[in-house]
Amino acid sequence: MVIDDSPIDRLLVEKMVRKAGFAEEVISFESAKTALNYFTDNADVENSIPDILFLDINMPEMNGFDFLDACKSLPESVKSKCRIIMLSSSLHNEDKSRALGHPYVEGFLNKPLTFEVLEGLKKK
Amino acid sequence: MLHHLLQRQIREILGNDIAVPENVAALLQTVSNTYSELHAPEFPQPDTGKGQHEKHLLASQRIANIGSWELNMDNLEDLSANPLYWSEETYRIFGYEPGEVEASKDLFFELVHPDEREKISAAVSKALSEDTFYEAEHRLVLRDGTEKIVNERSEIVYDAVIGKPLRMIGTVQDITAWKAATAIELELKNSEHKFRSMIENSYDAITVCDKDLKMIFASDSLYRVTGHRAEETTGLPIFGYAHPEDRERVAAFMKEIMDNPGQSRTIIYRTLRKDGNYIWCERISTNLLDDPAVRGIVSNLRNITERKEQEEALKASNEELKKSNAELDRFVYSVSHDLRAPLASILGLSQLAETETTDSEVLECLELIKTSVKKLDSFIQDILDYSRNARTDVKTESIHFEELLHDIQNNIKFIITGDRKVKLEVNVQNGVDFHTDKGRVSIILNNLLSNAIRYHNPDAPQPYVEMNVQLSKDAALITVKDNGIGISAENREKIFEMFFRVSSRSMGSGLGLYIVKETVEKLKGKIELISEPGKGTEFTVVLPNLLNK
Repeated sequence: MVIDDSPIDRLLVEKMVRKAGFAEEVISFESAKTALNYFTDNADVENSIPDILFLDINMPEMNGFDFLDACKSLPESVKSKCRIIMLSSSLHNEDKSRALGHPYVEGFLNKPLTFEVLEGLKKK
Repeated sequence: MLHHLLQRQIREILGNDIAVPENVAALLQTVSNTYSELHAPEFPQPDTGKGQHEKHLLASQRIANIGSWELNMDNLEDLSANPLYWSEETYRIFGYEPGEVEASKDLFFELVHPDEREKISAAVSKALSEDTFYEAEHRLVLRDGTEKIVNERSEIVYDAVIGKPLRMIGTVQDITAWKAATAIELELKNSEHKFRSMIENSYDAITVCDKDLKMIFASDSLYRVTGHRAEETTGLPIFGYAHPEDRERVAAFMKEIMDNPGQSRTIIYRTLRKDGNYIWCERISTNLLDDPAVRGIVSNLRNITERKEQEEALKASNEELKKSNAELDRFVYSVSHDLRAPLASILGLSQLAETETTDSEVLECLELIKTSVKKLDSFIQDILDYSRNARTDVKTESIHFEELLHDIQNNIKFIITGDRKVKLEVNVQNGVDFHTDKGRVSIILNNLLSNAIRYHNPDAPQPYVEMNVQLSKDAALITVKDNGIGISAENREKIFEMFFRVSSRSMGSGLGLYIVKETVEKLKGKIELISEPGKGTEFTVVLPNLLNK
């Protein structure tokens, strides 16, 4: 799953994930809000919660960090299943350390996503 | 001597001068001597019986500290040869028991302070030759070494008939004590004058109030400060003109003063000038109610309106600066992000495109696109680093160099080094709680390491970069050593300049080492380098441990 307001970046992640054989299916959202709604609505639906989520930080309305805070209210089943990786073009140390300090976040990646990184994630 | 006196007598009688020949004078001298023998005056003898009158005189001399003396002047040619009489008090003043020694002119001169003998001797001669009243003030040194100051007066007594000098009589007064007292009095007067003039001419107003805070004294300078005349404020409460908004603070201040005798306190408040305007003033008050010399609260009052206005203006412009700094920081943040986001997309797309083709020309183009984009990307990174270093405060925290270097190594492994692999060796000697700004250290290490890798020597048998971090409780010593292309002597200073690039082939923005230097300075550290072209470079950075600072 990918949440990013940039259509190019969504397309990039989708294509690369498929190409690398990283996942069979990719769903993408252009805003954190719609993604949150999706989680809330499908919490109990089988095979609807993704294994991994690439989350952008700088997005209008609800940014990546707001989304993380909102995730608190999601059921435990959702939270434990989905690994969250921040994928941002931010060069700020503050953004990075804030992301890595968050309990739901597994990693912080600087854009663009590379095949090497995907390989690395696959092994885990 | 006689010749001179004769001349005077003739002048007095005839009203004009007649030259008296020397031989006439000699003749007269003989006559005079004979006359003196016949009319020898009653000469008082110290040891003969004292009459009531004399006893009174001696007692009064003693009480007044005045001695008297008398010198017979029978022998005018050699005065020392004449008998000299000292009164009892004169003896005492000269440090002798009455009659203990024989009075003599020579003994007297022995007692005169050596520095003043010549002066006194000259004054005596002058008095004799010009027949003037003699008065002198001088020092004596007694045989036990004590010094005295005496005042001496004397005059010559003449024979009423022929005007011949008969004797010289004089007084000697011990004025040592009087002199000392006068000196103290003078000093007191001077210092009082000095203090009064200091108070009146001081830029500040000085006031004294009683325990009820009523004014009991104000210096004239109060007029300069508040426009009120000192006399019109007497009896008024000292804070009567304080601004209503400051009254509470003022009351607290006075309580503080009353509760702490002898200590000074300062307050800055507004007070009403006579012209109806409020001014800012600084009052420094000391509670001296217990001091018997003062019995009041002494205050120093100064008009600081101008200073206050400058402070306010400075504060406002400081706030403004802070605000614009914060705005600029946010601006740089958004710009760097907004510039970087499309670059990341281009990089990603190029990467993806590479997997879609086997056409070598297309692949070459894609590689060049990636190189350009990466260059632009690192330029944005540099500008961001520079801006943040210049605009944000140093934020200290405990640093784990291994962790930090692990992240940095991950970042720099994407630096394109051509076919050659650069060996990177990192040694951290740990065990000390080292505090500094993590973001800034990261900028320094990142730049130094990526430079060392970027400018490796492709001809070296094994290009390497060796980094050592040594920590102590005072400082971190960081060295980055390589066997790269090196830096020529002429460029060694320039490499820290903004936008300096060694050659057009240089890959960076020209900001890297400039930022490193600025950042090191921000952390109060030092950076040095030694380098030899073709052999390698070693940078040494010393950063102070900012723990507890």
